[in-house]
Amino acid sequence: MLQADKVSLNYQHKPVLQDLSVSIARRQITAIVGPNGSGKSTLLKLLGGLSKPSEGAVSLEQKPLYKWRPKALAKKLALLGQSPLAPSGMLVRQLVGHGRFPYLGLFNTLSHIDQHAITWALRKTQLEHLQNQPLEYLSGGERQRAWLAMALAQQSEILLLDEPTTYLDLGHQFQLLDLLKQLQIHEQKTIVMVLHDINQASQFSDRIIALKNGEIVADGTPQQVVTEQIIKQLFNIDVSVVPQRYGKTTKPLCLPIDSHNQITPNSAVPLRSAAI
Amino acid sequence: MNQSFATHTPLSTKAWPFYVLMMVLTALLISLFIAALCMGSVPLSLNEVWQSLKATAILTSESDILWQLRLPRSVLAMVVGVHFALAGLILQAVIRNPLADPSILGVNGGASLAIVLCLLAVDYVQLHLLKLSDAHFDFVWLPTIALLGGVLATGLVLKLSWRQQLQPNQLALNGVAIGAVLNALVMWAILAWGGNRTETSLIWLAGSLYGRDFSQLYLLLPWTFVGVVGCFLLLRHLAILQLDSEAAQTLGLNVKRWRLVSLFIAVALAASATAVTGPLGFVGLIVPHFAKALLARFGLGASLPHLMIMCILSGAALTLAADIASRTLISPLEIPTGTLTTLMGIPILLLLIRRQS
Repeated sequence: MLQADKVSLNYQHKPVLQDLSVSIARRQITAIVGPNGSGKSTLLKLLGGLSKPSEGAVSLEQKPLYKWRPKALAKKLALLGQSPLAPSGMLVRQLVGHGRFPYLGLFNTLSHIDQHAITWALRKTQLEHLQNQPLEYLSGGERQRAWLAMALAQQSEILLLDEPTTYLDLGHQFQLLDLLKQLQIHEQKTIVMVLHDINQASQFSDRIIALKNGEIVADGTPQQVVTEQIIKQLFNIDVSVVPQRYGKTTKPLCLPIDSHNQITPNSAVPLRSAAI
Repeated sequence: MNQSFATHTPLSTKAWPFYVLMMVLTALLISLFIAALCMGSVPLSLNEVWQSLKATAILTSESDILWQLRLPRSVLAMVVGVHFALAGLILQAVIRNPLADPSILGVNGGASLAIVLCLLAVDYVQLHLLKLSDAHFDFVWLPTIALLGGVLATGLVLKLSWRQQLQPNQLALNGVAIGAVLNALVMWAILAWGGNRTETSLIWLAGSLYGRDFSQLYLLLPWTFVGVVGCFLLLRHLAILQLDSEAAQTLGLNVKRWRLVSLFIAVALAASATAVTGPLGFVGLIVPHFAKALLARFGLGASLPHLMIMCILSGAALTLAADIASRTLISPLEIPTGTLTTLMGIPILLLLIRRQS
């Protein structure tokens, strides 16, 4: 339904994305992975209509994004950026309420339905008890959830998230990804997210798109993408990939091998004898 | 910041603290207004004021003072205060910078330069070309000229920032640059060719309400209407514009269009007020912060509708108080109101901010 067709994007005459085609499948979690500067966030912004491709087109339901009215698009598709900013003094519930903006005309105020959607988003992100706090009093994890709640209040079918787990500790990372999984299963959301952690991508997504230098290196299920060769090609490190059971499913888990400390015949010479 | 401080400072969501605050400010404003009518170089009693207000024809010197001087001047002070305060509120939201005020778009510089050049040109034409011994100038035209100058300067700032999608940082930089150039030109013009207009120019530049009457008020009121109604309708868009532009865009807001609309309303408010009274120092900068600090003191969140009402009330009150002081402190002489809005506003603001932390 959300499709990028042969898109290229140049930034100051340097190509960031080259001739790239992806089609996002409904009700799946898709993870975009790749090294720094590979064009992950750029691809996400293109898919969200935040930037226009230099060539090619991104379309939602067969209609190019630029032909959508902004508010109509915002009802279909929500995007959460890497480090969004809010003014000081804004309360959590106010922020989440802004998610209802696409549904309001110039003269409307928040209706019963809007309030209901806001409360629902707050409950889903477990922020009900903090809803009347200013954002700046929240911890990093709570603040990230507040922004996610704003995107949820948009009640869009598609959620695009740019590194939603950055700045979070391991526990909060897991909680957030688990929440996204719940949303996919119970609310039929389509989720596309940029992730740094290959193992999280493997564990939580149905499909992984691997980018390097603005081109797709691999695109498929975690089993197809998380392999020793592809990881080597992407990050230039040696890994060993082992199967890991998560509940009922088994996903590949990759572990970097420290090539400098490997025991090889040469390095095994005892130091003391070398000194003599 | 991984530790949550949230549970220590619950904010009230009840409506009544806000209404109480609103009532108190309104009462303060009304008392200030009554004081403004009574106080002055000729003190009037409450009864005299009341009798003069009731009278339909101007018969006594008391009613003359009231209708010709104090009433228009006091109403004008309040209206101008509202103008600057709302312009500041809008600009701080759009530019997303707490230091933004109307001068950041070059409104002050443009208006000042237009006024000074106009005064000098008229003098020159009358003295040297028409050989009139006594230069005469109808001051009724000044507001219109100032308005034009302010709008032109802002237009230039917007033009320079247009390609960068009117991005806040770009706007602020261009605005400060244009403002600096215009102010330098103003000083140059006054020092080089000021002559007998130096004093008039300086008084205008300090911001004053001296000798203003109802004609200036009528000039202002259409803009007050446009500004207040526009600001009210814009509140939701302004709230979204306060987020960063990516977030605003993903919420379905046409960021560039609404930035332009908001800036237009802010400029209409600021330029028209500057045209009538000159740049009233810092009202636009202080009052929004004052309103925010006041709401926070009473445990209320900074929602824009509340902020707007607070800005209207406290902007009017601050300017009116400053004008009363400017007329009475060293009566019968006057201190420019602009100086006093700064001198009175800054300590109040600093006190509020200090208490907050």
